[in-house]
Amino acid sequence: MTKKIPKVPEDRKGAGIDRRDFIIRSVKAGAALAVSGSLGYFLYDPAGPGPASEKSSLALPDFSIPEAGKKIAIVTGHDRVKSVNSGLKAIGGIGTFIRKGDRVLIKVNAAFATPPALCATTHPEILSELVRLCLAAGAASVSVTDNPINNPESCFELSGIGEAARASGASLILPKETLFSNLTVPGANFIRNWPVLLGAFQGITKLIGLSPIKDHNRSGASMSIKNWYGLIGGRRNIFHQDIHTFIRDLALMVKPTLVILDGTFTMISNGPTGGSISDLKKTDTVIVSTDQVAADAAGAVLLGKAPTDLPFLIKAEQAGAGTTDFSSLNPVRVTG
Amino acid sequence: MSHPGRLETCVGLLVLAVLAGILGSILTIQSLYDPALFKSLEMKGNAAVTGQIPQPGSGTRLLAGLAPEGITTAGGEERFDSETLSDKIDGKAELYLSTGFIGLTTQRFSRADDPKSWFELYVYDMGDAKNAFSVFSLQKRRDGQKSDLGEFSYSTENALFFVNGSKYVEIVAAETDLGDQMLALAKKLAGEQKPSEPAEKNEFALFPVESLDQGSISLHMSDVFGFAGLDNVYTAKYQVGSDEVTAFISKRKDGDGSAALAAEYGQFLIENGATELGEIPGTPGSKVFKVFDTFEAIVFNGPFLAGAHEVENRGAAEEIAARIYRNLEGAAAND
Repeated sequence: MTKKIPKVPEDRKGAGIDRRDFIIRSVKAGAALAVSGSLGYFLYDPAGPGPASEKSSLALPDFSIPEAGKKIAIVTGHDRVKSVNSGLKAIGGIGTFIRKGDRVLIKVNAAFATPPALCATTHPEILSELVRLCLAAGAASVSVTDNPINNPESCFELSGIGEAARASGASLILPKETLFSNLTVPGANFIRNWPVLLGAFQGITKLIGLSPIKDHNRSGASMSIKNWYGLIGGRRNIFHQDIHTFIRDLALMVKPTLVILDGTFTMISNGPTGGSISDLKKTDTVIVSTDQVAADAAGAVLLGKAPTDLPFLIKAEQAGAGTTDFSSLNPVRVTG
Repeated sequence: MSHPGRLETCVGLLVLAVLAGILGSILTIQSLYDPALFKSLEMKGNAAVTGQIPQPGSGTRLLAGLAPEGITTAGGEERFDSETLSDKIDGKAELYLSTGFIGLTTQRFSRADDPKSWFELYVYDMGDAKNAFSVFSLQKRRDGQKSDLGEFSYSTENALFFVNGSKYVEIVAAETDLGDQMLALAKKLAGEQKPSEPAEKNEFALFPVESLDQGSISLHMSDVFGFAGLDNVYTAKYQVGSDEVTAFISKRKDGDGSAALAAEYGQFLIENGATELGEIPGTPGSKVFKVFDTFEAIVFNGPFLAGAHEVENRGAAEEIAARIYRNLEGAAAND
């Protein structure tokens, strides 16, 4: 039995589509559906949004000066300004490290909105002098930075660091969100695709760490290496759970030109915040070194500790970041 | 085949351009995806934002009202919870977090006529008086001077510290001559809150008083002496001749609990390099260990575990442990 195909009425011929037109359009629509479907299938990620790739094209430059060698100076004196001068002079002078045209970044400890008298943060007097020395050595610019999580403006101002930086001719780099980029440190356990204050390093040619020496409730001590914690962004407090390994990661992440430890007063208890002047001990020491592990090992002495009391130091040494045997660097001991 | 009209072509191109724009935007945003930020937002959840400033009338009292005469607020009140505490006090946070911490409220004050002369008030809500005493005792400055704010209070050159009910309070000044103003504010704060409870007095009495440094009594809530099984431990300092001895007492559920914990702690010491030296004469069940260059004495009596920790002189360790054992006999009998 055959079905009769109805004829197209004469008045509709040419106004709509004919069979050929219909087939061509159907094929095109089918092809479009097939392509978009295939594309969707090809791009579909059955695992969903998981951890991001650990590949990172970003890295912190190595700011160390190999020809300067591994050096350390331990200065005794109650005047931190004189002491930092003596310490730098003892290991070759500021000119060994800062050359004409250098763009210097000083990483301070501005973690808390506390007054200089508590020594929980880098003391403004030693910062001013260091900025002055860098500029006198021909530095084209000196910048000062840190990433205090809570209210950075207050931390810089109440600690006196902001005013000291400005007055001495340095610029202050506050931790704006746009300055953070994800970084993976080769060999690190925790700093993998994690936000780091890399924007502060734009154009920088020399890096100096300038920190106080403090007891620390979690890590046992906060000195040069722990000071790099302030370059980390995100919810970094989670790293306190394995802080010694994390500080080792920091030692791998940063290769500074110099580190300077201000132990004119040392916070020997209730760190890292302190709170009472009675948490401080007058230790009259400033340590200047090209080896951050050695500097911290020497600083630990002021806290009454040996490197073996501070697992992060042993881990950093094992990772090749420096030596805990600071006496092997033949420390230059001078009076400030 | 009929060709589309000019209008139809224009509309088609416009739709394609919009789609291309959307595709470009998606690709751009996707390339800037920041997993850390994503994680951060997830972690914050419903937690208080760092440095959150409460609004008047929000149902919470503002600390600004505590300012004494001549003192004004400097900045707003800030609040921190367990997620954000480390933003304010960094590595000190774990001390509070392991001791029942609920929240921290801070407010900075300054002289009305000199903004550079300032102090900051920290009010830690520790949940109960025992927790508040614990964080107070573990941070106590040995050279602190007793203040007018009760037994659990002291002042230093630039600061004031005290327990008030379930709150542990710190007032820290940028200079050394704001003591009167800080004390006035503290009294106002203490007066407005629940009076301090006579917390921990019963436990204090467990320590024999002879040669005891009464101000040294501290309460450790967890992971005491590095041993996860040891919690809720009071420690105190004794002077025995030229030796300083750290004594400890912990009340367990019952006699079986204290005996079992004594054995577990002893085993922990041995696993970490200690050697057992024997029993203290006259104290049944006691044990003395040599731990590298120091001595550890462990006794138990009724529900109480006690002893002496990391003492350089074995005789001093045994003497204090035995004295505590005898002192505990009455308490154990009454328990």
